[in-house]
Amino acid sequence: MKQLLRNRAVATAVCVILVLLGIFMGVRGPFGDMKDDALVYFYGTDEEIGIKQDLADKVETAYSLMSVAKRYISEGDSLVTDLTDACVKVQDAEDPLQAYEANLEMDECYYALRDKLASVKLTEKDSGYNASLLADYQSSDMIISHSEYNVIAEKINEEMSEFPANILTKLAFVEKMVLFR
Amino acid sequence: MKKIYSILISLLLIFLPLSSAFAANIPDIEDKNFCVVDDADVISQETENYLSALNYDLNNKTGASIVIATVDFTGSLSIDEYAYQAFNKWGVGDKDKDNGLLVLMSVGDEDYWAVQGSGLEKDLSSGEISQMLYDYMEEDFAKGDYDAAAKSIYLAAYEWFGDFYNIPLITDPSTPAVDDPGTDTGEPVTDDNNTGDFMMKLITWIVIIAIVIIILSALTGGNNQPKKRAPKKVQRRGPHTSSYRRYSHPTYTQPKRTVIRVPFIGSSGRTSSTNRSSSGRSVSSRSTSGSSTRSSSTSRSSSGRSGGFGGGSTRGGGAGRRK
Repeated sequence: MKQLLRNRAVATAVCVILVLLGIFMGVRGPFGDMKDDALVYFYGTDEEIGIKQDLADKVETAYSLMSVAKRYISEGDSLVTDLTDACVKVQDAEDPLQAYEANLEMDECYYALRDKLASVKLTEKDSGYNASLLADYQSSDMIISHSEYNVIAEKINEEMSEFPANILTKLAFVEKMVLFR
Repeated sequence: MKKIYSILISLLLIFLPLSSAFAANIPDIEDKNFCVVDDADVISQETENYLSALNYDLNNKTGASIVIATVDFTGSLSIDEYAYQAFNKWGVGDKDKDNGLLVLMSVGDEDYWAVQGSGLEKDLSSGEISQMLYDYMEEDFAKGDYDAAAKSIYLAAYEWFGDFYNIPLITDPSTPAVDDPGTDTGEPVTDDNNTGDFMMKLITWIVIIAIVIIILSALTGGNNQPKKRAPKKVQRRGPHTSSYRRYSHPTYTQPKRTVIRVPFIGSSGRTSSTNRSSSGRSVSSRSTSGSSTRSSSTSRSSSGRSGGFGGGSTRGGGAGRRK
């Protein structure tokens, strides 16, 4: 054992492991704290509405659109079922990355359904609903884009892009944050 | 020293113009009693006075405000972004209730947008705003009658606020209960935000200049030579030997003495302080960064109760012209 510890190669290996461990913990710690600051604006607090709540509002709007759509197209239509599935994914999302991907999918499905309704002859009332629901949906997107979460996440991503953080974060497997814009 | 001052002055001349941040070209509000910001000059004085009188009554009773703004173009900003920035810059509505409504008409862009305060998001949804704009504003706006469009949408929104707060609102500003808010009350209108910003910038610059002067003084050292101090006579009292000073002056040679070290009998503060300094290093200071980030978004100075601009804020929703 003593001979092993006196071995230069072993000493070098131990040194390298310690350095890598130090980088791992040293990088993940501060960036983890910064990400926690951003996540407060994602999940929300008693005083501040988070992005998660705004996404929930978008889901409600999407369900309202489906209620209007079912008067003109079949409930089993792929446009309706796809939008339903996407809404469920947004509701089930637990972290910003999942929420971001689910939101993109929901946007695609929502606009596809909306375009389909625009091509159908709607009653005046439903035409009004189609327009006002779109305003609600887009309004939620605008509110999300102005969230403090995006400001912090953008700052984190910028710092991660600079040298030497860009190398260290890759070594420590620290991912950039998604932006809801 | 003259060189230092010249460097400082040149730095000032370089950096002072840069300190003014580039922002969207959103007009400043001169008179906070008005609720019409007619930068495009498309609304008549009569309509401005009428709407301001109605808004004065609304603001007095509920703290809410409806602001009509017109611009020629929104420039590089999208109309919704312009409305969002203008709303928060002007502080439409009550600071605590965030119950303002801003209707922005961009005449040159042939577009309009309305954004509500964050306190109204649940009650006056963007969809409702969209419908209101379409029903009351679209026709006149499309014809180019911006004065009629402004009046029409204002009255619709005004009626909504009356129903929402369940209060009777005036429709005829000539009734005796309403004070005319259009005339100058004689009180100076001060923009607290701008004064505060100017003072902060001034203080910041003074501090920066002071730090630079201190650093440069320390680096150059000046022409002053360290004064030669005569060795202080130490009076010996009893068996305790007080510490003697070592003089670092090159010509002074320290006399050889036999030092008798006696344990210092006094307060134990010297021992405890070393413990404190070693433990102090391990204290985390992360907790302050989050709170400062959060608090920065809420630090807005209020201009007090006024016609349109009570310090309200918006999260940036709203609705616009249907395409």
